[in-house]
Amino acid sequence: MRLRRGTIIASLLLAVVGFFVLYPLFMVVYGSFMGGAGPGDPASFSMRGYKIAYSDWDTFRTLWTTIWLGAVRALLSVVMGVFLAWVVTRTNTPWRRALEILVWLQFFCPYLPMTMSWILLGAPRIGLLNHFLVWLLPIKQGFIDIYSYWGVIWVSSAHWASVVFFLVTPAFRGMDASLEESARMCGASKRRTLTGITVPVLMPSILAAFMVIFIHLMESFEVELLLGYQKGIVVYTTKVWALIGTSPPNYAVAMPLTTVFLAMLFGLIFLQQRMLAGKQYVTVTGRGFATRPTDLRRWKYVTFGLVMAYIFFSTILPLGTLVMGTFMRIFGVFMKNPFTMAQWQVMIADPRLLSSLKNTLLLSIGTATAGMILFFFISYIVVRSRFAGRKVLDFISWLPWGIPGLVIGLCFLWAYVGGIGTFANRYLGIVIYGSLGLIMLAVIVRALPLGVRAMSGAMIQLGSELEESSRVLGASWFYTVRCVVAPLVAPGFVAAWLLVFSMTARNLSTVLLLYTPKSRTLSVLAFEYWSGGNMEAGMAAGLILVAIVIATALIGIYVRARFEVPTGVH
Amino acid sequence: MKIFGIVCLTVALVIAMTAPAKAISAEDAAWQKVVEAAKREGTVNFYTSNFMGKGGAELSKAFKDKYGISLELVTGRGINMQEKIKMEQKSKSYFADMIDGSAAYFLDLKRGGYFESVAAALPVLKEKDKFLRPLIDDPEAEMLSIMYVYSVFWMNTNLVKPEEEPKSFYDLIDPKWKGKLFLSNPLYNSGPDTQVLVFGANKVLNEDYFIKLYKSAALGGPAGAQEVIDKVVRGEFSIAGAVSGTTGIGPLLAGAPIKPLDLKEGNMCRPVRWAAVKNGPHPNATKVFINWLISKEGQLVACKAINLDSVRNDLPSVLPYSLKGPILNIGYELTDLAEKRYSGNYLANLLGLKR
Repeated sequence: MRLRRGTIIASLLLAVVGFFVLYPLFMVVYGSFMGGAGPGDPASFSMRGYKIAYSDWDTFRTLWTTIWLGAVRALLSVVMGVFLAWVVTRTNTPWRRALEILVWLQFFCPYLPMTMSWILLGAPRIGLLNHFLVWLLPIKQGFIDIYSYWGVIWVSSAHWASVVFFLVTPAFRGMDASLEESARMCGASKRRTLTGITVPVLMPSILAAFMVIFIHLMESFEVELLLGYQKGIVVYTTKVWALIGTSPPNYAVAMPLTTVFLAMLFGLIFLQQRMLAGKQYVTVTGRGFATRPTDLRRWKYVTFGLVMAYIFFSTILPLGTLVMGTFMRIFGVFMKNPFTMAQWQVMIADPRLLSSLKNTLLLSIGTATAGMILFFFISYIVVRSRFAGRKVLDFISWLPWGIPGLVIGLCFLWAYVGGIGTFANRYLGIVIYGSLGLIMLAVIVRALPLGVRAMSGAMIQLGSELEESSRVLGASWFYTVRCVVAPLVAPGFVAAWLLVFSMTARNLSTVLLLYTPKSRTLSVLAFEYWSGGNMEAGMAAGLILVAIVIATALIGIYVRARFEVPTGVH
Repeated sequence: MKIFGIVCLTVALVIAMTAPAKAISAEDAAWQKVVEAAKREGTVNFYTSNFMGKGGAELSKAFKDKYGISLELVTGRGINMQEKIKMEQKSKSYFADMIDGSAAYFLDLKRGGYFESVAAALPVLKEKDKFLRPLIDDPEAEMLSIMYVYSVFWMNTNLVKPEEEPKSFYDLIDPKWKGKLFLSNPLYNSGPDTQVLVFGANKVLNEDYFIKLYKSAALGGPAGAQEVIDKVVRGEFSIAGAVSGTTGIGPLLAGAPIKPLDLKEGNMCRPVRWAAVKNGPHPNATKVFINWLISKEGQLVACKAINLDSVRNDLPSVLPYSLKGPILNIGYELTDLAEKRYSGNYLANLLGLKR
C-alpha cells in the first residue's frame, strides 16, 4: 500500500515536473524547425535554420570554445572550491567559521556589477591593478588584460568556486572522520589521506558539483559578453544572445543552435549518470561518527593564507571597488571631487524601491521554499527510491541548466503567455502574464538543476539502514522521510534553500521578459538604472540586494549550525 | 427695413462670432470627457527604452501630479519590448498602452500592425506653429516624433590633446587613431546603417568612407550605446561613437572628461517615436499622456529628464553643448530604408561581420 502511494506520488511529481520543464523546451525544439518564424507567427516545417547554422564553420568554432572554456573553468572552480571546503570543514585552520562566511560572501555578490568592477581593476592601461603594478614595478605599462581568456577564466572561476564550496561543504561536514583517522593510523601521510580517502569518498559530491558547474558555465553569459566578446571570444550563449537579444531577432539560427546544445547536454548528463552508476558513496550511516578536524600543525597558517588570498582577490577587491563605485559621480573616473552621496539619495528617494524590495522578498522566499520542497522530493525519489521513472526524473531535472536565462524567459513567454496563457485568459478569465506566480514558476524551473543537485549531494551520502530501521519499527514512508531523512539532510537543505533564494533574488535575464510594473524586482530596478546610464545608482540597488541576501545567508548559517549538531553526535 | 437689415446683420455677426466658440467648446468638452475617462482608467502602461531610472521616475511623478494618473513604466531593451508586445497581442493579454523607440524594432512593430493612431484625438497637435518639425511623418499617422536625438562622436579630453581634436570625419580615419577608436557595431545597432544612408543622401560621405572608418576601429558588442560611451568615459579608448541620444550627456554633466566632436560634415539627427499600442487597456489615459507629453509643460519635464531636444520651438535646447556642423535630419522613408538595410545586415556584410 505504501509502495503504491509512493509510486503514485512519484508519478505525479514526474508528470508535473516533466510538463513544466519539457513544455518550454519543446517550444525551443519546435521553433527550431519553423524556419525562423517568431512565436505565434504562421510557419511551416523547415530545416533552413539548421542548414544556415551548421554550414558555417564559425558555429563549430563557437561550440568548441564553449566546451573547452567551460571545462577549464569548471575544473579550476572545483579545485578551488574543494580546497576551500576541505580547509573550512576538515582542518584546524584558524578562524574557519569566519573564513566560511567570507567565502559565502563571494557567492552572494551580484555577478554583473562584480564583472564591471573587474573591468575597472584589470582593463589594460586604465585598470587600477595595472596602475598599482606600474607604481610597484619598474615597468611602463601594466600587463593585466581582463579582456582575455585569462580574464574570463579568472572572473568566472573565482565566482563558481564559491558555488562548488556551497555544494560540497555539507558532504565534507557529513563525512565520518574515523575514515581519515584509520588511514592515518595505518601510516598514511596527510596528503595521502586527503587524496586517497577524503577526496574519493566525497567523489560523488565533487563530480556532481563539477557537472553542475561545467554545464552551467557553458550557459554562462555576462562575463563572456563583457570580457570576451570585444576580443572575439564568442561562446554559445553570447552567440545566441547576439542572435535573439538584438533586433531583428534571428530565430532561424538561434533555435537550431539551442536545440543542438540541448542534445549536447543530454550527452553530458548521460555521461554523468554512467560515471556515478553502481558506486557506493555512503558516509552518513546509522553508526555514530566523529567530525574531528585534521591537525595541519604549521601548515594551518599556509592554508589560512591561501584562503585569505582567494577571499581578497575574488571578493574583497572587486566588492570594495563596487562599494566605492556607488559613492562616485562616475564609476571609475577619478576627476576633481569624484565622490558623492547623490547615487544613494536618488535610489532611496525612488518610490519604486519599496515595491521592488517587497516583490524581491516575496519572490525569493516563495521560490526558495516552494522550490526546495519540490527539489527535496525529486532528489529523494532519484537517489533513494526504486521508482521506475527516477532516472527520467533525474534527467529532466537537469535540462533547464543548459539553457540561457534569456531563452528560458522567452520560452516561458511563448509557452505560458502565448500558449497556456491564451487559453487561461480566453476560457478561464485568468491573466497569468506579469504575475509573480508565473515569474516564480520560471525561476523554479531555472533553479531546478542546482537545487536538486544540492539535495542529491546530501541524500546520496545517507546509508539505507537508517530508513530501513525506521520502517522495521513500523514508521510510515512519510514519517521516515520527515523524521529520519529530513533532519539528516537538513544542513544540505538549508544550504540549497539559500542557494535558490540568492539565485532568485539576483535573477534578471528570466525576470526581465516576464515582469510588469506590479512585479518589478530589485534586480530589474538596478538594471533600469544601469540601462538608463546611471550605473552608479544601479550599483546602489545591487548592493541593497546583496545586503538582503547576505543577511538571509547569515540567518541560514545560524539555522544550519543548529541542524548540524545532532547529525554528528548520534 | 433699414433697422431690420441692421438687426439681421447684427444677428448674423453674433452667430458668426459665436459659432467657432461653440465648436471649440464642443472639442473642449469632448476632450474633457477623454480626461475624465482617463482618470477613471487611472493608469498608463508605458513601454520605454528611453525613460529609465531617475528620468522615468521624474516623468511619472510630474504626470501623476498633473492628472492623478499613474504612469507605469516597463523598461528594458527595445528587443525585449518588441517580444513582449507581440506576445501580449497574440495571447490577447493586453497590457502595453504605448511604446517609444528609435531603432529597428519600432518599425517592425508598425509593420506588424501593432500600433493604432491617436493623432486625431490630441488637441495639442493643433498648435502647429509651435513645432520645429512635423510630428507625424508616416502615412498612417501612427507614430509621433516628439523628441530628437543626435548621433555624436565623443572624445576623452584627457587622452586627446586640443590640437589633435578631429574636425572632420576624414580625421577619424587617420592611422594615428588606430586602436584608439571604438564604434557601435553595425551588427547590433541600426545607427551605422542609418548613418551611411543619411550622409550618402546628403552627398557628404559615401559608403567607401564608412567601410574604411569601421574597419579602422574596434567595434562594440551587442551591449549597445552604453558600452560605447563607457569606453571613452573611462579612458579605454580616445574616441567613441556614434552614440545617440542621452548616452554621453549624463557622464558629461557629471563631470566626465569627455567632449562631443563637432565635425564639419555634420551630425545625424533622428526622431524618437511614440506610438499607442493596439487594444491597450487604457486608451483614454494614453491619449491624455501623449497630449501632455507634447505640451510645453510635458516637454519641459521630459526633455530635462532624459536630456533630449524637444520638437517644440517654444523651449530652449537642453543639450549642454552646441554643434556648429550641419544637422542631417532623417525622415520616415529614409528610416524605413535604413531599418530594412540593417535587418539585411547591409553594412555588416560589406565589413564581413557575422552575428
